Amino acid sequence: MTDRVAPLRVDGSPLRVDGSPVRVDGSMSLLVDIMRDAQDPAYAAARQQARSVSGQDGLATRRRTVAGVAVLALLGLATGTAAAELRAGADDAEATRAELAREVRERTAVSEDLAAQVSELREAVEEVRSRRLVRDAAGRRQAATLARVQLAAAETAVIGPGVVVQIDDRPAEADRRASGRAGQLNAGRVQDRDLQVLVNGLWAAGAEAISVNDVRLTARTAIRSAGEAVLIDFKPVSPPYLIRAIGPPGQLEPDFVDSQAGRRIATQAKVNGLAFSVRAQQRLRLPAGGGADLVFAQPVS
Amino acid sequence: MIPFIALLGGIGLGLLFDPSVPEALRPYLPIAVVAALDAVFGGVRAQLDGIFDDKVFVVSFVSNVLVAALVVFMGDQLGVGGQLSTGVVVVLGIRIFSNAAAIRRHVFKA
Repeated sequence: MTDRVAPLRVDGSPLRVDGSPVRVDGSMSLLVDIMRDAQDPAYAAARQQARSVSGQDGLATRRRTVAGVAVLALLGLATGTAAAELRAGADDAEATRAELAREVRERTAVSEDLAAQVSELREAVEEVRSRRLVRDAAGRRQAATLARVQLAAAETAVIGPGVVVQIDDRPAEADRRASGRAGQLNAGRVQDRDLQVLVNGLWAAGAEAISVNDVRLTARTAIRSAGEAVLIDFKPVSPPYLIRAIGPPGQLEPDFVDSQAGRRIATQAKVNGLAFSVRAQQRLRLPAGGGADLVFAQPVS
Repeated sequence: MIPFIALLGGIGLGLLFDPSVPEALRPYLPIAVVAALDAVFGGVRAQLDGIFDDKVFVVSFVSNVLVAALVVFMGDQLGVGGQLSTGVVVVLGIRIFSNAAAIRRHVFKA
């Protein structure tokens, strides 16, 4: 490599060896260098060298071209292999996701189907049973007992006067929920504890049947939290929570509002900004709760 | 011209036959493909500038891929694989854009 004197512009300011001007902010020239060296300087250097060498051996040139073609074909093969591999990988991930989504939808449909079958069969059983029991006096007595027990066990839909209690998260939390962002567990959200206190307060005030967001509460229904969601009888329900209770008309609402539970929830709601309201309603319809599994049976005597 | 045809032919064969890649090399495939792309763009620009040299092209192709894979491998060993990989991709991307802009100037002015 020949030695070269650092060139200068006409006005005496320095230039770099390759003729580009020295910048004052030379230490920050990273991006400039990247963009300038995008063209590999080796191309220009090779061309300089080729110019200074006059004429080449024809055989050497041909051999060089053949070697070059072979090497490039090989490199192309490697690149194509890599590209094919990456494309296959991306396809696999997408295919797996689509398969899982399809399976989830399928199973949900099957589960809903089975649930519909279950309620159909229950109705059929009920019908056969009542037809059989009505035939004689003993049967009719049993039927009456059965009706009372079913009512108490929340196995039948019921209609009656009562109260509707509505409770919802703090407006900021409700907005966050609506926009799809994950919320935080804090006092501004309604938790299972609050619903339990409300429901127990209603029972204590004389309610005869209660449902939360149209899930009927039976003697075995649990109100629990799992992460951010509240599960009633293992079914997830989302706010706002509507608690409907059927009980003595004109008494249930004042008894509940004045009760310890009612006052406690009202204070808590005011302090934490929860939306809370209680109002009486003349006619409420509550759905039936999940039926009990038959474990033990005995012929009617 | 011939070198590019050879390269494209090789790529076509690779896509067609899809030979299996050893497991150890799988993580470096993406960066290798981006580095190869950078070398190809540099070669096309050199061709349009009239200073293309096949030896320089082969060397730049191989060295680009090797250096990029080596940097990412080193990053993995040091525990900064993701960040170094991002850095390499950024630099290669800037170079690809620069060369593409020069190619565009050639194509639309000539």
